[in-house]
Amino acid sequence: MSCEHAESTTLLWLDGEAPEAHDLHVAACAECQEVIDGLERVQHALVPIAAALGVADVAATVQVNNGFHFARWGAALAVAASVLLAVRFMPLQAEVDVPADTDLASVQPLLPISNSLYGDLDAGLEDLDVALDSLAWDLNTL
Amino acid sequence: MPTSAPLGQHIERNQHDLLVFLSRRAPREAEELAQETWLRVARANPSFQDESSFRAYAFTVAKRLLIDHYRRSATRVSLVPLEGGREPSSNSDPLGAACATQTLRVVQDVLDGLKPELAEVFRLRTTTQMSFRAIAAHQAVGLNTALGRMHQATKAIQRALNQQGLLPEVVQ
Repeated sequence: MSCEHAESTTLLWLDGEAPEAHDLHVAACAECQEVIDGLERVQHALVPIAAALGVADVAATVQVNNGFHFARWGAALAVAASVLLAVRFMPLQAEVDVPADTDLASVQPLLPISNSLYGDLDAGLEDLDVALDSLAWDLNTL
Repeated sequence: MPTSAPLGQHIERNQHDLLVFLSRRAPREAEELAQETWLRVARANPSFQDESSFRAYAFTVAKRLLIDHYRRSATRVSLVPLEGGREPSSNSDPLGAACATQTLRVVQDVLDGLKPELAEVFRLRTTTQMSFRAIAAHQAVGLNTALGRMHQATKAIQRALNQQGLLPEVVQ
């Protein structure tokens, strides 16, 4: 094949995904015409047998793959949610049993709570945001 | 330099032939497809100086619509559950049914002999509404790879059907 479009753009053009102007090229290009003619004849011959061509197998393959995709994201979201819940309900300040004979005046004041815990919480939320964005993108591209 | 004929004249001269061409391939939808063809031609409004170029252009648009029509038909057919296993659609015409059975055998033999990824592109493309981009994404390959696979599979099936005399002739 000497026409660079015969095996690429011209097939894409059938999907309406190539510029409309490509039909002018196809109309004038013998190789592209040959490809279109061949495809048209094959497609015509296939119409009565399409149901028997193993479509169910193909559909099942696609569904299995999509199912795997959703299962993977579902698991990721479940893990992210678990982490967030665990962090959310984790006691921020441990209770301390103080012996009765303790001299309270000698007890050191509590240290400020580390910001790292909030940092973890933010990171968890960011992870969840990323996971949700990815899931939304997947849904849009299905 | 010759002046290009008005679009209406071009259409008038080719209307009958286009309808005959479409009627041979899709008798029930021929008129609808012809109208759609002329609509698209009018929308693009190409300027051709000779009749043959316009004719080639119009038939190219018609073939594209036909291929899309076949694909949609195939998808609709595939949604009908089959009784008694994987047999071609029942047909009141015994010759047509015999041809369909033979066609199915040839196509399945070719697909079985192809690399699975090639056969899959062909099946997805011809019996579902998936676009090439979606098929490429499904196979996790580049668009040109998916297109090349489709081309190879189509050529193989075309060759096999042609050898068995099962392809409709190209008549315009």
